[in-house]
Amino acid sequence: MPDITLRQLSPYKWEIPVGAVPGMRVHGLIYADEALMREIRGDKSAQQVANGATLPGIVGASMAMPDMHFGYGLPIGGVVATDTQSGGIISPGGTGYDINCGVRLASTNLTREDLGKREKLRKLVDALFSKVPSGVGSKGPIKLNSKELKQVLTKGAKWAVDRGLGEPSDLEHTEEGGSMKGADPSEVSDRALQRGAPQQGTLGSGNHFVEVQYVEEIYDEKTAGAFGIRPGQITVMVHSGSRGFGHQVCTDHLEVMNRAVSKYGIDLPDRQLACAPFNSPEGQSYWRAMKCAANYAWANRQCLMHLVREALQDFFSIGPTDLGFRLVYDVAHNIVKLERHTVDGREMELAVHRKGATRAFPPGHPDVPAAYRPYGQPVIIPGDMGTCSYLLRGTETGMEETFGSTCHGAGRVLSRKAAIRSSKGRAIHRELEDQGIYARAAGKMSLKEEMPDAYKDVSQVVEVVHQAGIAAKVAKMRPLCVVKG
Amino acid sequence: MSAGFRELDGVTADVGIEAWGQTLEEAFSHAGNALASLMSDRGALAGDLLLDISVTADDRASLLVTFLNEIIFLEETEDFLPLEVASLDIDGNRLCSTISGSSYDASVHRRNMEVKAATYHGLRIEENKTGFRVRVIFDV
Repeated sequence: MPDITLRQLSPYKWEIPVGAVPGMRVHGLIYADEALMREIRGDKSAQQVANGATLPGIVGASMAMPDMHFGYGLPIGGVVATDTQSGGIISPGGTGYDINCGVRLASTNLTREDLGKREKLRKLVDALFSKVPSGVGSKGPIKLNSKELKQVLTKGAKWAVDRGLGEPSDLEHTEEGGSMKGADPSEVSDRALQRGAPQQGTLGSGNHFVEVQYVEEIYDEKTAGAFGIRPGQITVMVHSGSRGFGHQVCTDHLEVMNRAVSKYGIDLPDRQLACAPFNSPEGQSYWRAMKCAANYAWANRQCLMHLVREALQDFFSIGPTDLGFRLVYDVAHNIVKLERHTVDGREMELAVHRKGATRAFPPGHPDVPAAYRPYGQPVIIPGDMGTCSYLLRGTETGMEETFGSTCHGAGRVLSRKAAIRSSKGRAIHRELEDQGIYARAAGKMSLKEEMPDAYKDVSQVVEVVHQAGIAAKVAKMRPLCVVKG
Repeated sequence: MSAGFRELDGVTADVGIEAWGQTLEEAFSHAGNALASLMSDRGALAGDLLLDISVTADDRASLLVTFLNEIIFLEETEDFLPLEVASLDIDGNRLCSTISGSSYDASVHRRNMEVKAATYHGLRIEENKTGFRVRVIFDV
């Protein structure tokens, strides 16, 4: 197949014209600089952006963020918004298997000095590793019967807070308050319930992690201050999702959508994009099930964060007041949201698919917590374990251009297999220790698969969204302790 | 003897496999073995546990994806580490198979990667002169 035509619109924007693949309803739009675009051209992800533009009801553009890479269906880093009032679709493959995979950032009263010497960091990572259930098929100390599991699915993070696993203020600082309304457990299969019951409060494997970090640089003092972030401060980042529960919801509803595609006469370039009109029985069934998985994930990150909070209190032998543990914000980066946006001067209700992309609402938006509203929504961008992570904020430009969306992380450049091959003979944990980063992983290959060289440079990705104006830099954090699945 | 499958290069975030066989059943069996090889290195598996799978689907592609997703479901809910596909029959839109493996024991077995699902993305089932060849991408 010939390469997809890409037309450079600005130093950070590239257009895929309508017609690049048959059936495109809108153009494609990729946010990247020249260097990232060279990597993007190396895989077929631009084609996937073009494929996304064929989805019924799509408005604006089929978009991709600079951390984009080849996925299934839509690329990772993809944003697709459909007009629900004129046949716009909802697509499980356009959401991803790990529904509401996301990341949260918490701040503490601790400083880098409190964490001190190397030996102490090594002990801390061991303490976190023994406290946080991680790895393939990990099961946690939280055992849920079917009634409790259904409460998790309808209440999300609130279920955890009601159980004493966190503070009510945590919910104010979570996207959607940690629970999407209208989640309906009757749309969820027994198989999903079986997968979900033992896995609440577990990290899982792959790129999921718990990290202890310190704030290395502040770019926007006023906003950082409002978010409760200052230089040298210790922060905690948690990256996980809806575990086997969400994977099964996606699998189940893909089968339903596969049949719906012919029922509604939808022509697709890739079967993984299977979808149905948002306002159809199949579309609504997935929507209500997806919200269950989203709530499962918010409860999961809430439980994981609580375990970290307890581990830190134990490790430093301090109480909650001295630790000052406080959730800055929690964002979803694999999800569909029903949002109101202005398209060509008309306000519309859109199903915004963000698959490996983060919501980034601007200052003044009612969905931004009151304390942050003058500054914009906090956006959390995790990097690879050897580099750094970023705290950004949403902007007006992002709201106008990308339905209030931005990047979600560094984005892979090497496959797991290629990463293992290129790390042969290298002790990744030793290389990290030489930089003062202490990492532990449940899987024997995890550190190799997740080594820094396997990812794009997160700073380059963040620079693109900052320069393009679809998010603005607030602070940069460096890892100290990393627990991987 | 050839294992009947290989891992594909160039799949950035996920894992792709190709499997082949003289019959569709053999190619599907080898795809199941490929999935088992992603879950663990299989070296320490006695294969003393046999689990039966029976699935139906609308077409061949769906049958393959549903079969592989059933193995993933068993691995997660039954703590079952698969060794290999012991038997597999396809009759119209129904697939019946027996998978050998072992109960997961943390002191003996090392799990490899968490496979979330078999996807339809880039799924191929091809018939050629020597038999069948299938390609599947797993989300991991």
